Amino acid sequence: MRVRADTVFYRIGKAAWIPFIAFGFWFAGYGYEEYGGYLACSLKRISGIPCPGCGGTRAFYYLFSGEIGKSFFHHPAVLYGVLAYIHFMGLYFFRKHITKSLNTKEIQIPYYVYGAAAVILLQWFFKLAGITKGMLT
Amino acid sequence: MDAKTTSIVAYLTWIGLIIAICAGDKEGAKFHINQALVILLFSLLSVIPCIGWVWGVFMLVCWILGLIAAINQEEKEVPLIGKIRILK
Repeated sequence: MRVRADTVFYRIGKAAWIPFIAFGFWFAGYGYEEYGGYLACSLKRISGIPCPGCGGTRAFYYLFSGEIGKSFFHHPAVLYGVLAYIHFMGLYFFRKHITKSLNTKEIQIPYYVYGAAAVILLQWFFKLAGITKGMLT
Repeated sequence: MDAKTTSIVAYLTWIGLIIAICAGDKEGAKFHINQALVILLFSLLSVIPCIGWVWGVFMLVCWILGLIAAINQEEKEVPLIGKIRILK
């Protein structure tokens, strides 16, 4: 029997959302203050230039603190990840239970990956452009 | 080991990859042995501080996609790094 990638990711998504949300609230309430310092980017500390992942920890923190705008500003990939997750799970659920069209076509996971790569590179480009213009420190 | 088993075993960490190369059908599972090697090698970049978390998530997705392709016996390339050929 053929194993479908979207089915595997749907099952992982179903199993992972409770631990993920629990970790998120723990991190926002306690973990960031306690352990956030260990996650600071050494590249930014040494050279002042942010790497493509810089701001991810703060974005995660603000997301679970309820400040969506700040989360997007620090690193939109975190918000993108959550929206991609909701979109994928919703689409799979919709096709499986509402339209019953799951067997006609498979949801392509690589498109979500390409989207994430584009978001990460774009936000990095804007951050670097901001630094060169002296807008950000 | 037949080609299908070799393909699947190749994705199971470095130990699995070595077993697949040494004791498996290397010719039959060449595509997946190469892809597993590429994924494992690029996974090492996850240790880079800060950006590593992004890369780690991406590599995990690639690993799952590669493993599913091996189970289905499809020569499906994983996103971005799938075109790299180390083994000729």
